[in-house]
Amino acid sequence: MRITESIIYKLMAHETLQAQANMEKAGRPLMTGRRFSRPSEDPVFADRTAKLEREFTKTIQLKRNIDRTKGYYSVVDATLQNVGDVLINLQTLAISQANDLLGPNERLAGAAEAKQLADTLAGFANGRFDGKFMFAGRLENVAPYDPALNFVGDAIGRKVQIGETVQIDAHITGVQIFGNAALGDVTAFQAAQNLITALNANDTPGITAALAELNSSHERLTVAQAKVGSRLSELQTTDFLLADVNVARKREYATLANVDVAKAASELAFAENVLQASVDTARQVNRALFKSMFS
Amino acid sequence: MVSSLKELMYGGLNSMIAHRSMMSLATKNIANANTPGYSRQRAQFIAQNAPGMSVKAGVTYAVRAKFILSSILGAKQSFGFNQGQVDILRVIEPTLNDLDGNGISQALSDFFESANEVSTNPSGLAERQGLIHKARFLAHTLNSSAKSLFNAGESAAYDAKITVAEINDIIKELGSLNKQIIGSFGKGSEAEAQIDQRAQLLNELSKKIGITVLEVDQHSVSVFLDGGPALLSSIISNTLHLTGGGNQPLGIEIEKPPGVFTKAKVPLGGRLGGLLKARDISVKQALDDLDQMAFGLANAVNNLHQAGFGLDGSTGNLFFDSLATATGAAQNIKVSAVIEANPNKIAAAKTDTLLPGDNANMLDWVALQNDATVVAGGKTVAEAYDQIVTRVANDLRSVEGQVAFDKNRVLHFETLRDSVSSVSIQEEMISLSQFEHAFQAASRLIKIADDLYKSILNMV
Repeated sequence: MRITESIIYKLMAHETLQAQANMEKAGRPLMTGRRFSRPSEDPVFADRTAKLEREFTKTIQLKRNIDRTKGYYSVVDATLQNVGDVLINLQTLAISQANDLLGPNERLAGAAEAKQLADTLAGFANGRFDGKFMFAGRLENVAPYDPALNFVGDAIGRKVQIGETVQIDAHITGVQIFGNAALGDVTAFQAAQNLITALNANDTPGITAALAELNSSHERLTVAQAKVGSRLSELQTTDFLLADVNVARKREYATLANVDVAKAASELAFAENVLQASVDTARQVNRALFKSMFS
Repeated sequence: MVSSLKELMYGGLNSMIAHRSMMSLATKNIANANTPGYSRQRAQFIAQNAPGMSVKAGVTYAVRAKFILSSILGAKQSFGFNQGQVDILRVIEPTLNDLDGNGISQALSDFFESANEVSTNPSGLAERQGLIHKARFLAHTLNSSAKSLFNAGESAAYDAKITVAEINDIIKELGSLNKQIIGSFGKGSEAEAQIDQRAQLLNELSKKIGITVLEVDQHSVSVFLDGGPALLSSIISNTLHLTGGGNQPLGIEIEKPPGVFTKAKVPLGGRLGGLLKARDISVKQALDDLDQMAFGLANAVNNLHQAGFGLDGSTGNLFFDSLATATGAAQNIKVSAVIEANPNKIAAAKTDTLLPGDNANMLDWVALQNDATVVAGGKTVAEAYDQIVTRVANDLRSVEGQVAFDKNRVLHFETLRDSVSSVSIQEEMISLSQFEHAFQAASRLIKIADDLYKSILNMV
């Protein structure tokens, strides 16, 4: 092929520009810290990283839901522990007062103690978490128990999303802990009140009956505590699962998106050498052409 | 055979004239070594048998590689077509680039995350305000992205308009060159320079529009739109007009004769074809899909929202302003003024009897992010968006690859052309030196003849 100066210069310009473009391309990942900066550089990569980033955001959402719900149930758990203690005290009081050897005066004193315990129980029932009544279900701005200790809250409570397709109860409601009068249960408050009434009336069979009701209330409480425990456990398990999934996704994301600095640096060094060689060659060829023409 | 001293002198003179012409040609070649499209010119020495006529320089001709010219036109046409698309797709790519963590994808995630926040605390004012803020941001991102896509289409239209004007100028210039070439045919060097200039213009034209070039005779060419009507019939040039624009697809018409317009088919090849394809297929598709996505999202959210209840017990409110059709949805989606004015109207509850803690409606809202019925065609909102990004990214990647390929093809064909036609300064310098020696020898011949004359005269 006949090679003219214009061919040589055109090819030199083309190759040098190409080497320069390659060097810019090789340097970009090191400057941005990402393997690719534009979706068109690798559409499949862009699609996958976009999906992973959305999964991260979803994980953050779910993690936040889990933490908030765990916070609620931890407070509920502690509260139920206290409710249990009060019920045990009432049961102990009922057992000791059921003794026929005690007279009316001792039982009046027992009634006063029972009244105090019943008030404490009522206080727990209208307890708050995060400024809201924790046993009121969805009617969280209103105390679930009115002064007569009738339940006026929401008996079901709301759900919370903790997994892609998993929802759990975000609440445990008053009726699940203290009994549902609407369903014929003798509530813990009623049992306590029945004990107070029996003690005031020096009514031994009444005290015995109230003790049986308190025992039932305690059993109900134990069931509620078990529910809370299992929900906390479910939350914990889901939390661990999410963390594992997140680690796997982060690893995939890092593999996809992050720059292998050593590799990128060596590619840049190579591209730089090619550019340098290209420029040097151009200079040398130019000198040779010039010499041959004018020497 | 030289029969007289006079013939000897004339022979030398003719040789000097012929070699001076050749040196002049070599000088011209060297001077034009860097003139784009210039084809080196040559002339043959023609031996003369008439008494006193030793040699003469023949008609000047340009050395051209005709076999490669149509390949160059084809490669440039393809280069222009793909480059036109690249230029527009590169404008819209940043709008759909979420790799830096900003963009529609992130705005969508944030929007659903805020809805989730409201679902965990439906009576929280901060959460409700957060949702409005993120919804407003999402709407704004969609508005500006749709606007950017629309503007890219407008830029393509503007570019197409300029390209059409340039095409018309080139066609006119080609007509005028055809005329000049016909007029100067046989004048050697002048005609050859005009033919080179015409070839350059045809190269330029093929970058701008798909053409077929036909040599009418030895002097002029006609230019046709690829598979279509003539743009130039020898010296008669027709005018191209751009039609459409705004929300309409672009098209072209050819005005021939004046006042009579003929529609030409699209695509056209060259830059104009690339611009039209990018605008009316790639950009339009992206914009339509973005509209479908925004329309689906707004409708799904509104349907849920209207069925739910706000903290204040209100119901039937729209969350986003109502969108009549998908067309323009991305550019017009907006959080309703009622919601903007009062966050308590966000309908997180499904019933008004369990306020303020009912979050059932908001949970359904959060679930919309995984609902494959939200966007027409059975896609989630995120899938619909991913599809737009992937399609544009793939289109751009593909045409960028084509551009790189075309660039190499053009370079290759031009190198082949140059190997035949371009000036080699070394070659010309050698020729100059060769002609100079011959010129000196011829002058020496005259000197010898002169000396002989003198010797003869001295003998008298």
